[in-house]
Amino acid sequence: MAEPLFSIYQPFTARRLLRSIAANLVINTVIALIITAIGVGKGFTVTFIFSQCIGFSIFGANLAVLPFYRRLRRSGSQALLIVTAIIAGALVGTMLGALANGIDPLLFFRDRSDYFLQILIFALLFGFVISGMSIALALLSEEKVRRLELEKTAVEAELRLLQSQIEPHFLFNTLSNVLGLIDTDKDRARSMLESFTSFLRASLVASREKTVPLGQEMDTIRSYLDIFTVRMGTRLRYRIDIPDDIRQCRVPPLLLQPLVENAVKHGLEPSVGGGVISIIGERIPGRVRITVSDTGIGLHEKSAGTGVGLENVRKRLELLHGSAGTLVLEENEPTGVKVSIHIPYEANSGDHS
Amino acid sequence: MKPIRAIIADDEETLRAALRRKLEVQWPELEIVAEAGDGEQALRLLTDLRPEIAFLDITMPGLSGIEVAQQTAGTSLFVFVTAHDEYAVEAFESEAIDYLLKPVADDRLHKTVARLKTRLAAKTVPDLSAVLERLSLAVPKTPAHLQWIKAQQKDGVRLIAVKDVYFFRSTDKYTTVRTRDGEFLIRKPLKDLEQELDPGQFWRVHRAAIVNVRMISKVDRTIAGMRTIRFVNLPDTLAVSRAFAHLFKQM
Repeated sequence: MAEPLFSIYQPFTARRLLRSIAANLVINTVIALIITAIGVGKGFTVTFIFSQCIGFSIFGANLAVLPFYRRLRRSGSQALLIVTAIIAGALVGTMLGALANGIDPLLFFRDRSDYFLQILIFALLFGFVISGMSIALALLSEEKVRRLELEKTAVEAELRLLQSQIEPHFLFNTLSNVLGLIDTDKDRARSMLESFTSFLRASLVASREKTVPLGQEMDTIRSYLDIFTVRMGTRLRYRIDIPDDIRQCRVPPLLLQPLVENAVKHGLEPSVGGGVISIIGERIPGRVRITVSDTGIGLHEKSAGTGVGLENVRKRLELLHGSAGTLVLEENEPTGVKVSIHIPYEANSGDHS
Repeated sequence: MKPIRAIIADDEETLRAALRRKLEVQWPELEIVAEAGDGEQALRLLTDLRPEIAFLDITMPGLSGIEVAQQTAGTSLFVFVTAHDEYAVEAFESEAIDYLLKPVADDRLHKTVARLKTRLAAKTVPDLSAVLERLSLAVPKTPAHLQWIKAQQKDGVRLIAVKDVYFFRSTDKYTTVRTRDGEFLIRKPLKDLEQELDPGQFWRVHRAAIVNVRMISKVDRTIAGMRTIRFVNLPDTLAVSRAFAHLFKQM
């Protein structure tokens, strides 16, 4: 998409200014042609001069108020500012046009009020239409830039997420356990390898699918936690409680994995006694709440490390659901951390999966 | 001859058992006298039993393997066992210190056993304090500054990452914490927060406000010379008082 001629938040570069001037010349000429074609005015030349003067005055007035426009918060006051600028531009432009056509503007006001009024009406009419259109275009393209930026951060977040699943520490520790168990406890070695395989498979799916059913996501989490149950023994216990009526709700794949990983890595693993991880889903009006809590060591004021995982989950929620997807981090009772996420209930997938 | 004694410390039982079995095959005379599942237990075993050799996992609850070694330096020969602690592995490679990567490979363990035997024959326990000091520096530590804010709410205690905070503002008895999710009240006064926050990231801009400079989008200046802070993705603004205006002067 071409760079907009009129940008509200981006600085006016020399190139953009030149292009705007060129566009103004063309638009003003077209307006003069239209007015002449419908048989109004005193010939093309006079109308052309008025049209250029008025067009550029309105453009100049809009440019002049731009710095103030950016500071206003309420759309009402923004609109008022633009309307004032257009009216002022039209008035000044009409006077300049009179001067350029060799008419004394003061006499013009007094003696030829009908003609003056006619010009002013056209000036305001075209002024509002053209300014309105360029502001709308500018806002649209800025919305698009914002959207693209959000998408970019989400893709980065997903990339980091995928990298984190095959985190070397996790990979090698798991393989060490499988190798260690092969001689002594073949059944456990096999079930661990099975859990590991299904977790890896889900990680690959995550790179292809936009959403998966919550039930499937929970099976993945179960595989992940089963691996840690073998590794950590009695130090890790978990419970997953997802009622049947929300198992079809679509969620981004591995959305919850960083939360569960944090619970293991920062909650239970550093705790000598270990603890319990609970994942509970609930249907609330229009939405689904999923809570991941642990009874591990919890966060103290200078705990480090859980930032990136949480940030990724937040970004993915925002991309998919905007402000309807929320994440709240709290202390768990009596110890540990509790993370609750809310997402809209969507049972049908938007993609073909 | 007195038997050589060793301990194995790892929080994962399967891995302790696997290493024990491998050692029984490769070094049958070695007597593995005890196992530890966390750092503190390992420390107790080392002080009580004074084994000749200790196999220490690096990441353990309680104390890390490196901390355990630091606190008992001079008593035993240490072999660090790790899955993939990049920071540590790099340090190990540059130092003549024994380490094993998980999963432990037989031929690699064979070399370690040979080296341990040579060291034991020399009857000197090398002084590792300098190496351990460097290693402990390589291992990520507890941050020096405040990372989490706990805000009491009706239904529980909210945890707020300090890096997500836009600004702190004092209001009567409380301090308001502004994040994208809204405003939270905490009891900790601004002057205490100022002591604990990273001064590189959080600047006092007003008697009653501390701002996260990473969240600032721009600082406007009015004709009267007052400066106003604007934020990324947040409509709020903050005034900079004259006493702190110098922070935003152009370079």
